[in-house]
Amino acid sequence: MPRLFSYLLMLAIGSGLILPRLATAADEKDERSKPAAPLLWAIVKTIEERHIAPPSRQQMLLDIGRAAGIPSDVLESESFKMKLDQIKNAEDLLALMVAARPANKQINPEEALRKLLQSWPGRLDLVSEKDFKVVEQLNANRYVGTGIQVRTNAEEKLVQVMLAFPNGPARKAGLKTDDLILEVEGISVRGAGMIRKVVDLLRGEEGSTVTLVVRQPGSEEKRTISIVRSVIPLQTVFGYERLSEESWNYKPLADQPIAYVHLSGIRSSTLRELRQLEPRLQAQGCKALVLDLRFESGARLHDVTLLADGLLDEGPLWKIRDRSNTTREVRSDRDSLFGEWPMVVLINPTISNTGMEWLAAALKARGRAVLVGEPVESNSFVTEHVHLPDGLGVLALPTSRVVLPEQFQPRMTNAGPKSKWTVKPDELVKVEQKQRQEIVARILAHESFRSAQDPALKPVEDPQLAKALDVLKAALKQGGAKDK
Amino acid sequence: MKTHYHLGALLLFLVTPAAQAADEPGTKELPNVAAKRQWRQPVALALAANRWLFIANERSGSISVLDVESGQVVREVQVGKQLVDLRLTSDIKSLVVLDGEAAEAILFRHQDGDLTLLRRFAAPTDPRRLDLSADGKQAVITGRWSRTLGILDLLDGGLKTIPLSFAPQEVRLLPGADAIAVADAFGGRLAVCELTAGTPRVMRELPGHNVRGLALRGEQLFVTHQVLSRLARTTFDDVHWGNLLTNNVRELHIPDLLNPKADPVRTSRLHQVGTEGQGSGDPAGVACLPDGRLLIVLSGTDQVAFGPGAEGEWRRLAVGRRPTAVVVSSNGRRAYVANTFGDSISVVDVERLAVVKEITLGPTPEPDDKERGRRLFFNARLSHDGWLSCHSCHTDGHTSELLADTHSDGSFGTPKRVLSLLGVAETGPWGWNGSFKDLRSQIRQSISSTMQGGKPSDQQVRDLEAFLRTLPMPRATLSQRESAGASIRGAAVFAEHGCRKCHAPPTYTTSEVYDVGLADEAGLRQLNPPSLRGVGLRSVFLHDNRTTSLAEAVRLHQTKSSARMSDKEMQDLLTFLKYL
Repeated sequence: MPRLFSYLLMLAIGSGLILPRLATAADEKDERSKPAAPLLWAIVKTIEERHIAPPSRQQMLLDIGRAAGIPSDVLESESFKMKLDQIKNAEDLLALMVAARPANKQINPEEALRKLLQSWPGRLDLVSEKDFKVVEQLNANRYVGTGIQVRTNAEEKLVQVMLAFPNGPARKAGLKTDDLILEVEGISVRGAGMIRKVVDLLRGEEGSTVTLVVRQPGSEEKRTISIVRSVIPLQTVFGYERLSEESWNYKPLADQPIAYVHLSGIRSSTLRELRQLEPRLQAQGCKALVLDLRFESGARLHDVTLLADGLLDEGPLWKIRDRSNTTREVRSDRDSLFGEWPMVVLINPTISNTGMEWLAAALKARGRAVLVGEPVESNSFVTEHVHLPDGLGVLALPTSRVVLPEQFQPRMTNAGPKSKWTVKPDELVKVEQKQRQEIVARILAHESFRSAQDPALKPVEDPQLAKALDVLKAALKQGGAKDK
Repeated sequence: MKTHYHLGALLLFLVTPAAQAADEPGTKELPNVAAKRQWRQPVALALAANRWLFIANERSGSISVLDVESGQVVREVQVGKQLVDLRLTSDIKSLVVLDGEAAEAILFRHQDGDLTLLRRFAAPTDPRRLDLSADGKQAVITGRWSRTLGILDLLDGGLKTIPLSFAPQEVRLLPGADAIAVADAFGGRLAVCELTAGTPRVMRELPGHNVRGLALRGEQLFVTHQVLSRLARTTFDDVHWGNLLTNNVRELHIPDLLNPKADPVRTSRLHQVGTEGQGSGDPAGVACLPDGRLLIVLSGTDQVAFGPGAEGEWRRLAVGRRPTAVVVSSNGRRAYVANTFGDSISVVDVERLAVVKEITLGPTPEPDDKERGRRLFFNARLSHDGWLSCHSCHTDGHTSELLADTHSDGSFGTPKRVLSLLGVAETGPWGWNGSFKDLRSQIRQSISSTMQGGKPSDQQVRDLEAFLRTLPMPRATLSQRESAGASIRGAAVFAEHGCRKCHAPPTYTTSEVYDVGLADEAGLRQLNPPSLRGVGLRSVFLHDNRTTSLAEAVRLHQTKSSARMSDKEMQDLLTFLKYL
C-alpha cells in the first residue's frame, strides 16, 4: 500500500536493499562470492540466536545454496547435506558454495538475498547501518532532511519532486510539487538513474544548507533554492479534511459531536500528538471518536504499547512470548485519553501484520472500542532490529510473539497452536478493491496536500466510515438518554 | 481553671486566635535580619490586603515582609529554624507559620505589615504544610516523616493527630465539606480526612507523583504533579516526546473526591503542561486566576505557565531560579512568585505576561559545592528539553517508589523501582545490578542516559555528589523505645536467618550482588541489595515492586532461612525492620 511512511523510507534509503559489498563485487566467481559469505554467515548465526521460530541451520544453508544457483540435485544429495553440517564459519560456507556452484550461473546478489530473507518466517529485512539511522529517525519522528519526496520522471530523464511536505523546510523555501531537479550543490543530476545520487546529496546534518537548481515542467525558467535541513515534523495523527496547510476539520458530520482521527502510523510522537489533540477536540464539543487505523504503515511494538496504554485505563493489553517460551503480561496503567467517549476503530486487511492489529484487538478485548470494517490477520511476530557484527548491517527479524486474549486466538490444531490469528470486526462492512483505493487516495491527498486543487481531495463514498458514524450516533443518543 | 474560663469567655466575642491571644503575656520583639548575608530560600507566600507579602524562608528560618507597593523588603524577622509554610487567616489579623525543624506552628498577630509573635505550638514531627479553617481557629498540618495529619487548635494549642499510611505534604481544607485533602509527599496518594471528627474518610490513589501544589476553585481541586510511565524507556525518543514523564495539573471534581463510591480520576481532567521542546519539569505551586486560567510555577525550568488556553495550550514566562510558590493579587493582575534558589520574588504582570521586577530578599553568600549540587539536583534543564530533574523521580532526595525503565541496569524492558537517595553516600555500589562502583559514574549515567541531558561537566558531577553526600539516612518509623522487646527479638531473627549476609549493619546493605531467587525480565539474577534503613517508610518492595507487604517481601527471598521463619519470628522481624 503506498503510504507516506514507505515513500519516506524510499526517499531516505533509495531503492530497497543496500548491499554495498555485494553490489560492488567484481565479476569473477570467487570474488563475487567472497564478500557475501561473512554477511550470510552472520545472518544465519543471528537468526539462530534471536529468531522466535528459526528455520534449522541446514534449511537456511540449503536456501542459501539455492539462492546462489546450486542445482537442486546437488542440494538434495546426502553428501552435500553432510558437508553443510560441517560448516563452522564464513570461510567454510564460502568454500562449499564456490565449489558447488556451476561456473556459468549468473545471479543478481541483491535480488537473491532479498528473496532469501523474505522466504524465512517473519519476512526478514536487512538495511545498512547508515540507512538504519534514517529508519530510527523516522520511527522516532526526528527525521532530519529537506522534507520532500522525489521520483524519477522518465520522459524528462530528471528527478522530480513528488511532494514537498506541508510545513517542511523545502516547501517553506519555495520548492514546488512537480519541480524537476537539475542540480544539487552545484552538481548536475541530469540523466536517468540519478535518484539515489539526489537522495544522497539531499541528506545531511540538521542545520546545514543544501542548494538546488530546479524548473517546473514545460518551463525554461530555472530557480535556485536554498534549504536548511531540519527535523521534519512528520504528523502521524490527521483529521477528516485539511482546511489549510496548518488546520484540519476533525468532524465528518458538521452537526454531530463526533471526531474523526486517522493514524498514518504509530511512532514515538503519536501519543504526544493525540494528547495535544484531545483538548482541541474537547474545545470543539466532540464527545465521540472514530479512530481510523486503516492504511497504516506499521509500527514498533514499543510505540503501539505506549499508545494502547494512552487509550486504555488500567488492565491487561496482551502477553509477550519469547524464545524460551516464557510469557509476560503487558498491562496498561490508570487513566486514558478521551475518557468515556464512545469509540469506533476502523480496520481493514491493509493493517495485517503491521502491529496495528494488536492495538485494535486490545481496544476490542477491553470493551473500549467497537471495531468496524474488515478482518485483520496477524502472524503475531514482534520484529526487532539486530545489529550484525562488523558493521555488516542491521537485520529486522521476529524475536518474540504477541499473545492476544483467547477470543482472537485460532483453535488448536493437530500440529499444536497455530501462530496466526484474526481480529474480526464487530461490524463487518466490506468494500470493493476499487472503492478501497478511492478511500486511501482521498486520505493520502489530504495528508500530503500536494495542492488545494488536487481532485483527489473530493469526498468519496466510505461505507465503513458511514457505519462508524451510525454506531457512534446511536451510542451518543443512548448516552444522552441515560444522562437524562 | 481560671485561664480556661477566661479563654472560653473570649471565644464568645472574638473571631480569630490572634485577637484572642492579644492579651496574653510573652509577646517578643524579633530581631530584624534583613541585612544579614545568608541563604533564605523562600518557599511559601501569603499576601495581605494586596500590600504586604509575607515570605517564609526555609534556610534562614526567617519571615521577609515585602511591601509590594514600594517593592521593598521592609523587614525580615528571625522566627525559627526552617520555615516551610505560612498562612494568613481570612481576616488577615493572624499569620500562622510552620517551622519544620523545630516542629512548631508559630502564631503571629498581623497589622499593617507588622508582626507580633503570640505563641508557639507543638506541631507533628517534620511538619511540611498547613492550611487554616475558615474561622481561623484551626490549623491542619502535615507531618511528613511522622506520617500524620495534625489538627491544631489555635486557641488552646490542642493537637489531634490522624495517622496516615503515607508521608504527606500538601494539604488543603475543602470549604463547606468539613474535609481536608492531604497529598502524598512522594507518590500519588491523596487522603480525605474529616476536620471535625478528626478521622480519615477516604483514600485515593492518583496516577502520578511529586504532588507539589493544590488549589481550589468552586468544586474543582487542582493538583500539580508528574506522571512517570513504567512502559516508556529512558531513550531520547521517549523523553523527547514526553512518553516517559509528563508535567501536569489534574482537575478533580471535589464531590467525586469526597464520595467513596465515585471514581474521581475518571471524572477528572488532566492538563499536560509540558510539550516537546518545552518539558516544563517539576510543576509546583498553583494559583487560580480570575479569568478561569491557572498559573503554575515550573520549579525545574525556572518558569511560570499560564493556561490552559482554548485549545489546551500553555504560555510560559521565565522567572527566577527554582520558583516553588505563587500568590495572586485579589484582582488577578499581579502574581508574586517565590524563587527558592534565586532568594528573590518575581513580580508578574499577569495581563502582559511579563516580569515587572525581581526583588532580592537580601545579601547571599557564594554557593559552595553542596549548594551548587543542590541547585543541580532540582534543575530540570539538566535533562533534554527540561522534562525532568533528579528530583522528578528521587523526590526531595527520597523516592517516588515508582518503576522506571532506565538503562542503569544494562537493559530496557526491565522497569525497576526508583531508589531513595537518602544516605546514598554510604550504600555503594549503585544501580540495581551494582554496576556503578563510584557515585560519580552513576550520576553521569543518570544525567546523560536517564535524563538524556548530554554529558555533564566534571564540576557538575562533583557538585551533585557533594550534595548527595549531605542527604542523611532515612528516619526509622519506630523509635527504639517503642519497639524495645520485639525489636531485640527481631534483631536476633535477623541475625539467625542470615539476613546480615547481604544487609549488614549499619547501612543494612553490602557491596556485593546476590542471587536470592528473583530475576528481572532480562534474566538478571544478581541483584544489589538495597539498604534496609528506613524500610518501614516504604510501601512497595523488591526490584519490580511486586509486593506491598514487607512480610511477603521477606518470604519472596528464596533463601533456606526465610522459608522456615515462624509467624512469631516474622512479627518480631518486621518490628525490628521498622526500627532501622
